[in-house]
Amino acid sequence: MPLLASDSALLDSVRSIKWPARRKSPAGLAGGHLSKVLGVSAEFTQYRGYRQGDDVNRIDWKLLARSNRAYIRLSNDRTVLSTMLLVDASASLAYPSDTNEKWQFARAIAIGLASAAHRGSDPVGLLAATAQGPRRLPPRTRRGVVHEIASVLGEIKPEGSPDLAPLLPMLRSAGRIAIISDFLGDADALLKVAGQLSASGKEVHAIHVIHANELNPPKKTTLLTDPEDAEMKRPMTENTRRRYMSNFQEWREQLARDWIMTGSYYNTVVTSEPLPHALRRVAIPQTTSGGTGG
Amino acid sequence: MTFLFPGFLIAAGAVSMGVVVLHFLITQQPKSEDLPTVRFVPDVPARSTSLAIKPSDLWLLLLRVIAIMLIGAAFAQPILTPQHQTVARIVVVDASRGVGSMAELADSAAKYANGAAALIIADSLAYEVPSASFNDSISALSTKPASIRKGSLSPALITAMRAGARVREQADSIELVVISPFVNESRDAALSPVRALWPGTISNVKVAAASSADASAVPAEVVWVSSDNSPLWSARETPDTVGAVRADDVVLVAPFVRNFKPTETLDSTTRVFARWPDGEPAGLETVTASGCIRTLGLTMPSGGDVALRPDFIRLQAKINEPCGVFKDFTSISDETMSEIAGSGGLASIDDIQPKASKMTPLVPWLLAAALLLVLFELFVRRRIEQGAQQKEEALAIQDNAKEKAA
Repeated sequence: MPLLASDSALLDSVRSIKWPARRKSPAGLAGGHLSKVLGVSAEFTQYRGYRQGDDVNRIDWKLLARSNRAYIRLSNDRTVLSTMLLVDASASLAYPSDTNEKWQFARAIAIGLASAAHRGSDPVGLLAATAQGPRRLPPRTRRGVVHEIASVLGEIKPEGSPDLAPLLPMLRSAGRIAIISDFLGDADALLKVAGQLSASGKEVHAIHVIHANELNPPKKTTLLTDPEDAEMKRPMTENTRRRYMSNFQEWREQLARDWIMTGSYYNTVVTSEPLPHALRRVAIPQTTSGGTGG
Repeated sequence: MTFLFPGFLIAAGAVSMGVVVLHFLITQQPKSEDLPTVRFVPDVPARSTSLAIKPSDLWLLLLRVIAIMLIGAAFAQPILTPQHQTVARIVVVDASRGVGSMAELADSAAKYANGAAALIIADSLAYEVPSASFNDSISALSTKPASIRKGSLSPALITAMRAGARVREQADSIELVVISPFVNESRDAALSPVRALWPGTISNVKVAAASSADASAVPAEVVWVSSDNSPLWSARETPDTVGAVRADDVVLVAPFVRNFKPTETLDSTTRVFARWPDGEPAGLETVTASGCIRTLGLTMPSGGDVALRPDFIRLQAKINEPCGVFKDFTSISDETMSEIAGSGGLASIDDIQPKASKMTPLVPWLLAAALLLVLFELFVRRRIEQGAQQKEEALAIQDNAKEKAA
């Protein structure tokens, strides 16, 4: 599927957005993120006493002459951060049924983040949870990978109730994982696996996609049906609407607390807000140890 | 009890049936839509369109139906009719100047008025006698002198028709009896079309007419009121100006100054001879033993050419006309009598339109009762809604408690 005109406009609008790593990355190829390993680049960081086995060429001879002690120069190393996008393509994203605005917004968020990561020379890949099974694109740095991601997402029709938690261990090789979902499926299992990944040093981003109508449903009496469970029917009236909004807000606050407790970065994006704003909130660091947005 | 407009009652019954059907149907059918976060909507029973096997709020339904039926009954205008007769009789007594013997007239009236539903006494005007005063009015006929007013059968028949619209609920048919000397002067151009409006026969009871000697012309005495020369007139506190005066078919347009007004008590021997444009009397004619006196409460304008105009000359001739010159006591022809009597049977109440312009006495009570019921229904409905809301809130608290416990 070729790149859509709207996708080109989207890529143009997010051209200035960068997605720096929130933590130091493990050693790897040279890239734009600070590495955990101190290297030998020209960017001086600190001295360390010479130990047996160190390369004698790294000894600072001038300092040795002044202090009569041998030190070697250390510098920050920069590396790439392999990024994987886990996109939820369940039926709850296909809302409203006529425009699929929620899915289109989630797709745009995924493409925008992929573009931002790719612009930082990071390998970026995709894992989409669909009713027909996972669709995977391994992380790559080559030109055109963003277009490939956009094409794969464009071919997906959100339906069914695929689980995300079983797919998350498949992303252990990535240094940064972005989960784009409405978290209405296996949220508890997902939290558990995400917590394990975060504890193992992965940078996990939870991006909660919400449609504006979910935050503020229309004030009319309707019989509502869950797209993932046709048996679940609830009436939306003036009285139940107030209680719905209260319950939904309470759930979102609890969800944000749970994600932050796992050491992940939680952000809420609403379909009514401009996409660049939502992407900047996700990509630009807000706190040093996880944060919320939306 | 009968109803003047039973169609309204039938319509109210139909509306009540609709209300009952709507009550047994759940009125609100929620539109079905998708919402991914529907799980956060409280799980309260959803309403759908179906017949309720166990109807709730029967009190509300009862109140609504009764209120609608009361409103329908009020528009249908119920009448309480304790006695229903086969035939109701309306008696018209012509007591005009054409009657030869008032005693004979009273005898005939007493004979037919016994058990009658309505009694109408007429000369140039007609009025209906209240049922409690039938005997007194008939007795008064025999004792009082003959009227000076010219008879007219048309207004008498119109008054009888109005009475027929009122008494139509008391009987199946209506008999109309006219007791009159049936002289020619009581017949006017409107008599035939007015008679055609009555849907049944008319029983003509002829009494003796006045003698032709009474119909002789007598010169009139004319008095122009100046200050206090007539007990029939009094000076106005503030004289005003009027633009014309009218006597029968003669009209004189001129700037008159109205200085006098009639005294409030005029006896039966006095009639209005001329009027101002606003209907106030400008001249009175009083019958005397020797003839009549015409007193004119108008003052001729002092300036202008009024006295030279043809209208003034005609007015003057009208004022000076002999008294009683228009009396015609000859009997109506047999052909006209047959036309008045008509053919067929008595008037059926189905052919007589009910009185529509006036409410029956029960109507305000019915409307007030309906209003009270509507207000009571509002009160009951609010109580029920409050109860339902409290129940829902209690359920919500229980749900929250269960969730927290879980």
